[in-house]
Amino acid sequence: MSVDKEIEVRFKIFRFNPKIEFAPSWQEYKVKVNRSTTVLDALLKIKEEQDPTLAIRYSCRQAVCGSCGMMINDKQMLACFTRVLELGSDVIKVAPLKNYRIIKDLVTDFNELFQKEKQVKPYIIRHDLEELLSPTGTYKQTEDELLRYIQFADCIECGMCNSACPVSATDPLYLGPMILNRAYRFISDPRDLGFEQRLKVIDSEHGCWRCHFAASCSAVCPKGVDPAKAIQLLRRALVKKAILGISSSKKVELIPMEHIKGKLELPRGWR
Amino acid sequence: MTIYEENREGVSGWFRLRRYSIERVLYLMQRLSGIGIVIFAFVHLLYTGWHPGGWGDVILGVLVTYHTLNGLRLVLTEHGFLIGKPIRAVYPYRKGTLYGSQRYLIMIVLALFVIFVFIWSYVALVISTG
Amino acid sequence: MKESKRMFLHYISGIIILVTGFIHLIANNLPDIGTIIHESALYPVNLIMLLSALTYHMLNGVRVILIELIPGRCAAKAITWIMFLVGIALYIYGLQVFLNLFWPVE
Repeated sequence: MSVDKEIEVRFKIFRFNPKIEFAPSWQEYKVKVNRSTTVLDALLKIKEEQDPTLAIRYSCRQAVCGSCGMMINDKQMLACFTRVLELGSDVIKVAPLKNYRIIKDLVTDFNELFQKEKQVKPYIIRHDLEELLSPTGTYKQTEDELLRYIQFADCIECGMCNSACPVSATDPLYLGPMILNRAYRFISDPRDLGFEQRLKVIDSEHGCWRCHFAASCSAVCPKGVDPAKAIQLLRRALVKKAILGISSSKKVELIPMEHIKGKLELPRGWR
Repeated sequence: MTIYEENREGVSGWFRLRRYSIERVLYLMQRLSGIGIVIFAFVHLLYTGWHPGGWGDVILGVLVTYHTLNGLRLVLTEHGFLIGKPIRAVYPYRKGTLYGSQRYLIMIVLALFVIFVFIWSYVALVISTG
Repeated sequence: MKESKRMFLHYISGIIILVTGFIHLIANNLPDIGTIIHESALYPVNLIMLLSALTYHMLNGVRVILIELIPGRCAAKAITWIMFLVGIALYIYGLQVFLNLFWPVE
């Protein structure tokens, strides 16, 4: 098949504006696609040529930003990462991600998700403030220690795992795979000392124990992050802490470096 | 209006099983069999010694065997065993929870399930009725 | 009690049910070994362990399902307490059944 050969495909797109409409509706468009057209390209083509009122959110078009996650043929996929002909069906159903509030058409509201993410403190927590303000060296990190978290650090926050999870389907307060993965990424980081501070949220009624290992999050993840694995390892850390009393925060060695000089300039009004 | 705006699947999300991995099916069965066993256990406790008998015993055996074997699998996997170590995510992605030892464990569990159900059905239908 | 301890007990009680439930089945269904178990002290001890583990495992399972179905932090606490009280009631009822079984009132 040559690259230029074009095939006409029917798109069935979810249309809903919660501000003025009562119920959602499905609208059909016909688009000519070739081998390299992604779903996002097709949607943009519809927006350009047929219906400018269609709302989509996207940024990078190359599966890095995680803005364009949507339900394509009833499965969570990145629109920019899925080619139309790869799906192998004549009618392509495009809907917004499940379990998120709809803003308009295919655009969903992630505000609640990021509020939950804030609760687990997604940053490295350290107690040696003096060292952070006037660094004298660098923290030692071996290849093994890097491998412990590097897979979970690849998350692009597209929110598709939370959408696929059967627990978040009924429980809006459940933290969800994305946030638990985020928490484990920092807990397993050898430089981080904030394990105990994160426990209060992670170990709550709507924390990581509501996961039942349906592994749908890993099945839909476009970046190979494997959130299901992160949650199980997180639980292992929690059991270690609760039963054996072993904390997952580790002491990290500081390698002094002579050539690092000077203090960090703090913005005015800080501290 | 808010229902459409929230777009939450609710309990029907548990039953949307196509297009996802087999673990989702196993999770749903675990939950349903658990509910079944709870109903049986309540009646069994209130009327001591009661059990359904005949084909009812077979159904109960299926629920209990499945819940036990899958539960043992979950005890292992939910504490971080047999799901593989974290690795660098390199395309094509092979996720530890969906490949390798975890999948073999599922096969073993399902095979044992079939074997035990056959043994139990034989005992319940042939031996105990004489 | 924290959620992690509750759920750890859930796994432990599951394994206890596996062992004690197996003994319970053998004692009630196999005629030869069954009578030996029935006459020894193993039977009541086993039954009480099975009752406590089963009550915990069962009600914790129901609690987990209810927490997932009924959102709200307050609701989660209420469900936990209700399940705790139901568990106590069931346990006392079960113990009373056993007392009648092993030491029947004349």
